[in-house]
Amino acid sequence: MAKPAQSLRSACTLVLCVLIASLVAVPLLQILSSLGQPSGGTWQHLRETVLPRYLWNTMFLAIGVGFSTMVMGVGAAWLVTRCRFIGSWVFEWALLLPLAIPSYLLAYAATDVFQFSGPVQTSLRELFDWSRNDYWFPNARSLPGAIVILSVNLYPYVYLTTRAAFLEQSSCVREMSRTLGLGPWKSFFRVSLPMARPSIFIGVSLVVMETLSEFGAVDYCAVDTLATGIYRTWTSRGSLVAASQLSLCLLGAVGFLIAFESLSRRSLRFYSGDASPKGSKRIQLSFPKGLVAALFCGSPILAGFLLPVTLFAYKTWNHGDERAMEMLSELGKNSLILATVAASLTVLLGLYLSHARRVRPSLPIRMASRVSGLGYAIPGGVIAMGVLGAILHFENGLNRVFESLLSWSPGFFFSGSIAALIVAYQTRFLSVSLGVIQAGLTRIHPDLDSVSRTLGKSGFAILSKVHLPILKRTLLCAFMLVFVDVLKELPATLILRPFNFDTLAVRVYQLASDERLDEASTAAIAIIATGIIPVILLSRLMSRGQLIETPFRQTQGRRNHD
Amino acid sequence: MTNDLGLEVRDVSHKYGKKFSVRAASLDVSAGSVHCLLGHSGSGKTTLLRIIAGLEYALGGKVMLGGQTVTCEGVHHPTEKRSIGFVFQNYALFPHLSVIRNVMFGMGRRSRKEQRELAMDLLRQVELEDYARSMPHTLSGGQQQRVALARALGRKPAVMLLDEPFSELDARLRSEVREITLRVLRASGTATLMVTHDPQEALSSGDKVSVMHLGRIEQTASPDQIYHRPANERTAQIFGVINRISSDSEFGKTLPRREETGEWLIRPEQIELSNASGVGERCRGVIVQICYEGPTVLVQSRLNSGQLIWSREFAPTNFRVGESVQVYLSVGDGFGQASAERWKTRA
Repeated sequence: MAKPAQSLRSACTLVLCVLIASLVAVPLLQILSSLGQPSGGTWQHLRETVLPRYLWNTMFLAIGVGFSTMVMGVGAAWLVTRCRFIGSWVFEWALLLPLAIPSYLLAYAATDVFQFSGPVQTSLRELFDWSRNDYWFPNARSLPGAIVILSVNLYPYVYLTTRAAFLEQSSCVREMSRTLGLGPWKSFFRVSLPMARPSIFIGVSLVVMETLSEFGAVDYCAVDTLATGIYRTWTSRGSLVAASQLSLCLLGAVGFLIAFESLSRRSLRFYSGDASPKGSKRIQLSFPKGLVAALFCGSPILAGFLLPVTLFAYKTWNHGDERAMEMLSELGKNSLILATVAASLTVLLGLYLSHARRVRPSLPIRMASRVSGLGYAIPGGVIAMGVLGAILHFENGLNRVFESLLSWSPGFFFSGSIAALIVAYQTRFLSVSLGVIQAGLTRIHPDLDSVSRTLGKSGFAILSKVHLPILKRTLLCAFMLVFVDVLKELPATLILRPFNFDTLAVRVYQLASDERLDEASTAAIAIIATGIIPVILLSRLMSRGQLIETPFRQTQGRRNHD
Repeated sequence: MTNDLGLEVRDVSHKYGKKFSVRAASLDVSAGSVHCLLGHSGSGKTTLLRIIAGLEYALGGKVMLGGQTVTCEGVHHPTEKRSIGFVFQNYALFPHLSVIRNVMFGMGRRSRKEQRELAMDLLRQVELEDYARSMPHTLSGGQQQRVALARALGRKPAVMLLDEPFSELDARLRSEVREITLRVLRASGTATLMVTHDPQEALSSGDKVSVMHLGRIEQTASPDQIYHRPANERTAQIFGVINRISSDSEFGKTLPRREETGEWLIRPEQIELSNASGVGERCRGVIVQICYEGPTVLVQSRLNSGQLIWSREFAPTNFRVGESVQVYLSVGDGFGQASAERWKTRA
């Protein structure tokens, strides 16, 4: 029997999904279209001179950061979910705090503290009476330095996904492995870890994507990667084509990662974890072991959060940016409005797209949601160029039409407006909300949809009456992740913001790039203060184990106990 | 539309990929009756249920609900437009809604007050009126199952579809919940189709039973008929162990009327054991295994020829493993012959 003809409604859904996907696809195509264009020999030059170094550094950076965030994130997640030690309940939420610090701020702080004239080296010299050539000290502005800075900054992504996975794991499975003769360590490596593998992959691939597109911190550490190369090719050589061609290299790596992630997500398709994790016992660590565990969990918080916060607070207190103080309310308001609007929109679009994909999983809709997930890995600057190019094309065309019809044209109303900036944020961060919401949706058993349909509900009614209430916390989580990301975003904001419209991040960058770190500290501390509220909310949600919804765990909780 | 019309399924087929999961299945369920669909896992019974609900597309055939064609060539009414109730194996209660909200979920086009009254009435029927404000996760499995039933009844469906509704409950609870469920369903006058893999459940709950195997409905009959006159060996075997006896074997030769060659299928309760030596057509054997079933025991004996025979005795039994016994067909004259005749496999 033939399936019924596609109704008007599903056609509308398709059109909307394609429109959303085009937010990401159009800037991407703009970049792809550069492939056939001549770059005036720049590409040839790049390939012969700097490209191997770019590739080499990028690869090293990605592997280094990916590996160390995996060790830090997974280790910390296991310690806080399975063990009890000094301060373990604090670490449980504090481990997320570095999320509130933009990576470039961490780079500024680390360089400032560890440079030759910084407090660490100065006090070492005073203590041991050394002079410049008496000792060796690691240089923060190097590839290893960048790896450490980014790892300390990005490990919360791995921690976040892995911890949720550990909490989801049924204590039955672990207890079973204990009865089969595995000790806690072996049971971790042979049972918990393999079971959490899909979530770890998702976390690590997020980290690697962030690393690939990282600009601010890497640039400050003077490491030449593809992302900084793109920016430099565009600004110093003025070759947009060559810059776009460089971006293509990056996109290749990203495509590979996304394929990898979707594979791991496929094996994640289980809907219920039966046992409640609250009932499972945690291992009480002995004092020395607990101290090691506390050190393991504490050092990334110290380096990734306390160090920059203390430094910027100290600098603000002693020699802050006098002008920034009066500008702060203005800048803060701009940042807040931008982040709120952009985050709400991404959540809305992400929800619509993932719902459409669940209800009507046709090939075009699946493709649309796949494409929408690509933006996260493209450097903000590249996205800005793509969005700007596309908008200008659109405005030019529109103006021409109006000119010929009415001999009047609306002018360039869209480019250089806040709306353009919001569009760029959608392009870049839609994948974040999409990923979180889709992960939340896969945890709602498909039978709930089926039963709603047998009860006479369809499409929008299922979304509003079933999915939405169940996903409330997931949506909040997606909102806050994007909110913090927008707050920290730098390159796209720099390029696309309207005249006389500054945000906190822009202000920090402008001051720091003039080596006026003391003055930059004021805006820096304001960014951290604004970002910390959603991050703490996020940690609180997470520490209650409610980050990812598992409705069926609830309904299966007390079965067979009439 | 007459009252008798419940569910009619005609020649419905379905494929997962290239493999047929349902082949030309047909069945009728009249209003107010309970029909059990029995089969092993993978036999296609849940798929058939989902086709009736409109959750799967049929390849061909016709489905009618309460006299209305909802699936046939070129017609596929969406699930939400069909007059059905569906109780899922895992109950699929909405975790974010209280019990009464769950029950009210499908009752559109009524005032809030009416909805609430109707929901309370349904909860009373399933004996859960005290739990109206509870959240689903605080309920036990049996209670959740009854909420799912009340919720499915809320739309007054013409056809009720139950997918292994009692499989997640323990044995004591199962009979209790089953009793309430069947009572409520029969009182509501809906045509009920219940999928199960438990033969005892099918026999005790169904007015009619269909046995499904590899997507095909092998036989549809009353519980009595399907147990005593199974259409084929597969259908006979689904109700438990069975003796398969070749007519030229040692035991086969003791059976009456052996003109035809072939095999007899004989249920364990038709075989009797005796430790007194007797006359007539009997075989000697030694008991090798005794399994307790509760009110009965299943005894396996090895005949001198090496053939193994299952028999069923009332518990407690005096037989012991290793004891030497006489094995014979328990039925008296006439019945034995007739019943042996019936058991003849259709080759």
